[in-house]
Amino acid sequence: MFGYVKACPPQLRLCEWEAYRGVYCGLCRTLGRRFGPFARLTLSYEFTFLAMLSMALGEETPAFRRRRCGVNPLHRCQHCEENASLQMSCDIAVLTLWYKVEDNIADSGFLARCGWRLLRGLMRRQYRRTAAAYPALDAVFADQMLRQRRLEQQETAPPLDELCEPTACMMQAMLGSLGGEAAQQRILERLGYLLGRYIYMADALDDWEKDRKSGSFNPFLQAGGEAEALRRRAKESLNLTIGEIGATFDLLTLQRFQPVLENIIHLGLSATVEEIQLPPKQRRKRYP
Amino acid sequence: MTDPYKVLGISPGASDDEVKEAYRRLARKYHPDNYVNNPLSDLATEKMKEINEAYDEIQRQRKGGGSAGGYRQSYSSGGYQQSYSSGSSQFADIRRLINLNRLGDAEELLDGIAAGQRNAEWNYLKGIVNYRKGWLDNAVTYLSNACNMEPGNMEYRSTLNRLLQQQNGYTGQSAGSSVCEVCASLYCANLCCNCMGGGC
Repeated sequence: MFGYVKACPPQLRLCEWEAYRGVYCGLCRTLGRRFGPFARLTLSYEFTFLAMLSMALGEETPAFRRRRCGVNPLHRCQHCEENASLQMSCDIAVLTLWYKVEDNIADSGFLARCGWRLLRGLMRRQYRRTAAAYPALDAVFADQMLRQRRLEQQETAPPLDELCEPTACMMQAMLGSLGGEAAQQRILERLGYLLGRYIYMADALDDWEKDRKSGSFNPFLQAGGEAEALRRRAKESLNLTIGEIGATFDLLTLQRFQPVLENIIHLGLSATVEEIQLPPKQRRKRYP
Repeated sequence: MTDPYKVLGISPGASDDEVKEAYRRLARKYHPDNYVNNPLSDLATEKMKEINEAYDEIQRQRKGGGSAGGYRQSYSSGGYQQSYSSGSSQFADIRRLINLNRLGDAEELLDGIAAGQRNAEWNYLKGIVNYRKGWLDNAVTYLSNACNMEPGNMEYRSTLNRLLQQQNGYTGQSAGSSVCEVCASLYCANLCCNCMGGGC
């Protein structure tokens, strides 16, 4: 369920693009330093956004430095130096991965299940460390994952809004943990809730054809109907959510990175929807 | 007071036109119409006030203490705040709860109302509760019901229309110049309406 909250590069200025890449690379490096080289595989745009938003709200100015890329040593690029925001993003990424793996263990067939079990065994120590650092967030994640399973196993599928709720509540807790004064907290919580809704629906729209073939649960398939109608309905729901995300995001007071974050919220989200609504073969190659 | 130029996001060397342009852009963004029924509307109003004050302050500085000029009057937010306390309302207490953002309580009361008494206003309020808690799809359904039951009610109609526009990809933010023009014209039309409404 990753890769839905990202920038729209053609609309970024070069310096903004470099800052965005810098945070992305900085996050990758921090993951490697905190959780070992394999943790770099969990790198995603969602957590780049989280790290960048956290830095944008904080007082501390992040530092950038040209470094060798950890994955391709021949390549040198700007890296955001390790800071509290990047560390927090990494920890939450690991926490999320843990619950994703647990979910996969419950969902997969025998062979795949063995693989996921192995991964779970390997990351248990890291999970314990992060869960101890973020006990409240860990509790929310555990509750909401359980809730999600229950909702998807119901005889008659609940309405879309209710299905979105677990992911939405997880994101709400995640963004809420960025803290700040009361007004900012309110904005962040609504923004988190709506972003969670968006991510859940985008993931469902992205995968519906695959889910139909494999017979997996998908909220858009529940309502039935032709492919065209399904896409239109999904897009309408997503647009509705994106509009609210924009209005909520605009209320935040940011110290830096405003153009990049605005690009992600006001252009990136709808560009992603335009892309994932197409059948997989017609999609253009994604930007780097 | 914070630096008025910083509030508008421009440098102190900006020309009068640039100041006006920056003000217009921000006023469009935080216009109370964009936040009707939004649980964060109080924050938007605050933001709008900040922008208005900053603009006034700059005008005052530049005119050497003269009046701020009539330009920004049209943006003042006084008349926009949705008032839920209309006396004729059958659900006055529920409207009050919604205003206080006590959505759980409001929803409980709404659900307690017998099916036979669920009129247009009931559907409207149910839609607003859903909208506020982020259940946007349900909100559209209930608001559509409200509009179907009472097609002449402007309060229901305008709330629904805003969400329907959003559904079709109009978010009030511009991706390109064409959308920008749409924004601008909608915005001008809106201003006209407001002026006339205020004049009568």
